[in-house]
Amino acid sequence: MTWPRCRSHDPGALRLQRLALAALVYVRFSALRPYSEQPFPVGIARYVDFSFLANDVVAWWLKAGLVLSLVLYVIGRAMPLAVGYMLFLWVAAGALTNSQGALSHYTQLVAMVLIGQLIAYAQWWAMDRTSGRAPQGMNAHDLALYYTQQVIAAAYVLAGISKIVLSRGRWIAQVPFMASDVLKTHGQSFASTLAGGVIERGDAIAAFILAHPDLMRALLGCGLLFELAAPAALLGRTPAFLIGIGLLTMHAVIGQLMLIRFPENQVLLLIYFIDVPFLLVAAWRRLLIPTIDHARQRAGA
Amino acid sequence: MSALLGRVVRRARALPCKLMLATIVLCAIVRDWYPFSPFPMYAAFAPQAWYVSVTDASDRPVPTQVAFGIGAMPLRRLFETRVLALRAAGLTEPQAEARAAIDLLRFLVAEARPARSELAASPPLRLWRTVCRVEGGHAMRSRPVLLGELATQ
Repeated sequence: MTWPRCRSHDPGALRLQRLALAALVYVRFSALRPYSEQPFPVGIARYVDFSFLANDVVAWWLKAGLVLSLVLYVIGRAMPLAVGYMLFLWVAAGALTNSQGALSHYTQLVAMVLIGQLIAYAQWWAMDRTSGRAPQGMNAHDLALYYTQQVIAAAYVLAGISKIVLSRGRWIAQVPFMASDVLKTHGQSFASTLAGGVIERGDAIAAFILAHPDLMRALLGCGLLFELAAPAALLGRTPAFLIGIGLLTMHAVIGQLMLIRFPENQVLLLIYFIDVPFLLVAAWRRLLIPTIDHARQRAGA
Repeated sequence: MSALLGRVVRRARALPCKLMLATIVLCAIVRDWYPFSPFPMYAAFAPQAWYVSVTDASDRPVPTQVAFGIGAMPLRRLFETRVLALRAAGLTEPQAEARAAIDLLRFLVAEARPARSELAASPPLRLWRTVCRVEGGHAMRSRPVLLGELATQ
């Protein structure tokens, strides 16, 4: 067995990435509804009944365990155990939510990212026990980041391929029909909250789409290209940044047109493709530390 | 045979981005098997779409997010799944839709958060379908059609 190869990264940026993912998991997990039963079980819920999450006492202890595992994850201790527990609870809550008769796609990417990270930390742990010292300058967190980027790239490629296959290659041609879905999603938004002006907004956007079909084809076609090009993000920090910006823009455009948002996916892009944690650490090192040093020197003089 | 298998394993190990390739293949095979998915959201657009909404007995709209803690976006799929299950059990389409509408309204009341939401606890509630379509270069929506009513409990 040989050690897997991947680039090494700034330890401060890697810790900030873990902090950001931990925050995402905690906030979104807390927002998932603990339904009392799973009448239409999907995927793993066909084999495990996750309705125990609706029991307040059990849920309290499980959430306390989640907080502990998130702390371990951020400080980088007992990683296979911490990530394994995060994955278990996330999948349990996601499977229960999706087993009510309406399958949505908000939680799958985070679950798949956690699976990727679990593989990375378990693989590193196993290699550490069997193959001696790791290569200089590499650690388990670097491998977890590399695997996470691979999983996110795979998800976007899959989304792109699904568009081509399920529309039988006519997705770009079908874009103007999106107007009917725009009316639908704005109608659904109104039915959710009765917010004023939503129906009129939907009507105006649908009319714009039908008046400018080629502009919409070009705009959404760019999104499809970014999805299919997602593996380029694995080539380095700059390609990952550019692909991340492209995909984030695609989400923003869809959010504006259809009122459909994927906050989990967008946060994952900010953390792992655009790499906001690295940008923050780099900004700290380049801007603030010299300023502090300069102030100290002036104080000393 | 074992030599061939060994060669395949060696080639697979030498592939770059193995986890990405494995994820694509796995999700393409298992499709939507939670937590895996090929992410087929809006993978095809059609000239017609529809959604469901809830009103009270006086046909005043009930905001589902406020009343039940569930947005109206998943309501259509919740309804469709119930229709399909009832159709599989042998009901005709109109019968299945009427039953599914009542089942869905009962589900919304039972799972309402907060549990004693005034709006949720005051049936009768009605479920309506609105069809949106693109026709002759225009987008339009139909008048809502009543699917079913949950009587006072």
